[in-house]
Amino acid sequence: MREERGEKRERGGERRKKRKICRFCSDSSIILDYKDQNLLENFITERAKIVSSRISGCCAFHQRRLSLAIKRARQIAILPYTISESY
Amino acid sequence: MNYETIYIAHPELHENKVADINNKITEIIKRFKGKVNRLDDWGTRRLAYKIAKQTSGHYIYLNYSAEAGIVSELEKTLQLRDDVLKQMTIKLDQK
Repeated sequence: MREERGEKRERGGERRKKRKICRFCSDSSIILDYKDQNLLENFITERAKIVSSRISGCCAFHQRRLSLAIKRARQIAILPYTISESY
Repeated sequence: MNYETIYIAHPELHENKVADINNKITEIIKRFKGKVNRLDDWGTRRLAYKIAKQTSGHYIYLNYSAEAGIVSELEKTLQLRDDVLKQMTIKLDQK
């Protein structure tokens, strides 16, 4: 029985990968500010969508803060809502 | 209460007119027994999307503290002006 279970887990594949650490939790000197374009640009996709926490590695608390900061930055045209070809 | 306001002025607006707007804002803040903590002029920056058919804007950042009621007054003043393209006010957490 135990051998079968072990084999099934390995076939599952990706579960054994190391979990990313939230970079805001580990380094408390980084302030999440909606005015900081250089920091926030790392967390949007090519089409200017907000990256999910699975990809960014953020914890839930900081992902919510990040999302709020990006939405504020979009409101004052620091970040785009979407990338359009003609602009 | 601490607040933060960013507004975007028309990029071709003369410096005097921008200073004029800032003076009016400072007057309103004084009227509400407030204090301007910081006023930064970020200058002309490229916008992420077109606003009023403009591709760049003159950003001004304000950090101030004042009594309640300031926000609606300030927003009304800025919103009515034609040379202010966009404005945003947020309330800062007290720490």
